Amino acid sequence: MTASAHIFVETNFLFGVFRMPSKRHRNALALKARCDAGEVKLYVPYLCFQEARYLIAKSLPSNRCSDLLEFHRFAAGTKATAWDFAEVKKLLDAATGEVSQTKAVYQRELTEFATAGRWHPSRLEGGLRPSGITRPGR
Amino acid sequence: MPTERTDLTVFAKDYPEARLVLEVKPVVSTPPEQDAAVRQVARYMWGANCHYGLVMTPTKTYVLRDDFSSTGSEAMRVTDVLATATLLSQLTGSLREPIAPEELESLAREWLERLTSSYQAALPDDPDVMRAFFPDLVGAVAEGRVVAEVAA
Repeated sequence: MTASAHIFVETNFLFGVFRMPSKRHRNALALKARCDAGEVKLYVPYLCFQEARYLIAKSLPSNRCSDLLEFHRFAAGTKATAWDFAEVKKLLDAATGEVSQTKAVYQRELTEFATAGRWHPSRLEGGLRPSGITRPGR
Repeated sequence: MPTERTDLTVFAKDYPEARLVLEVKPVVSTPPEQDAAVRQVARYMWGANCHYGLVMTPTKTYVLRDDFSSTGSEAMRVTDVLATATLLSQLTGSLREPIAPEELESLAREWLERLTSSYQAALPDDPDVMRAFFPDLVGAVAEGRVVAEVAA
């Protein structure tokens, strides 16, 4: 039997795992997968969950495709366009939908991770609690 | 003999999203796509979902970009090879070549900080440089934060 590695992670990890799916950080996802598989133990300061919520909200694009739609209308008005707008629109709608979907679920996903017990605050409580780091829900 | 290496990463202004990674190396082998440092930067880019990278040597700078053509670090391709002296000439005030290796790390950081605040102050009026950097790479790093990671 081998001992799990103990890894201290912060906001960057949570941001990389729970932000918009197409922009997630593969290194962070691989680390979370190892955590889910019990290969490593993660230690996350509680304040990082709050910061990650704030940063994910801030990083969601507010006008993801409007530049391209404006360019299409301009191009279509000045010359024959070489693309099938109906097909392009499917892509743009899907990309916009990813933003809406992320906005709808990221807080719940973060909360589920925080309360699922897959990360381990116990070692933090002795050494790092004086800095204001504690377990979610306490 | 120095054993440190310096990696520079430009992060988005407001959140921890890597926009560009720059690695300083003494030399890159030919072909660059098979060089260990270039492959390392490509793997980093893939893992961090970062679309731009630079490998800077005293004589040449290799520009890597994600062409989104495949899944994996193979999508990070060397698209441009520029003379480092030309690239840094706005900073150094000359086109002298080669740049001393011991100078290069600090010059690279200073140049990158200048690039994030004003590409016009960082990039020379050179068609190859402008083609490699403008508009997408310049846009990616605009107002970004330059972070150096020093490892023993």
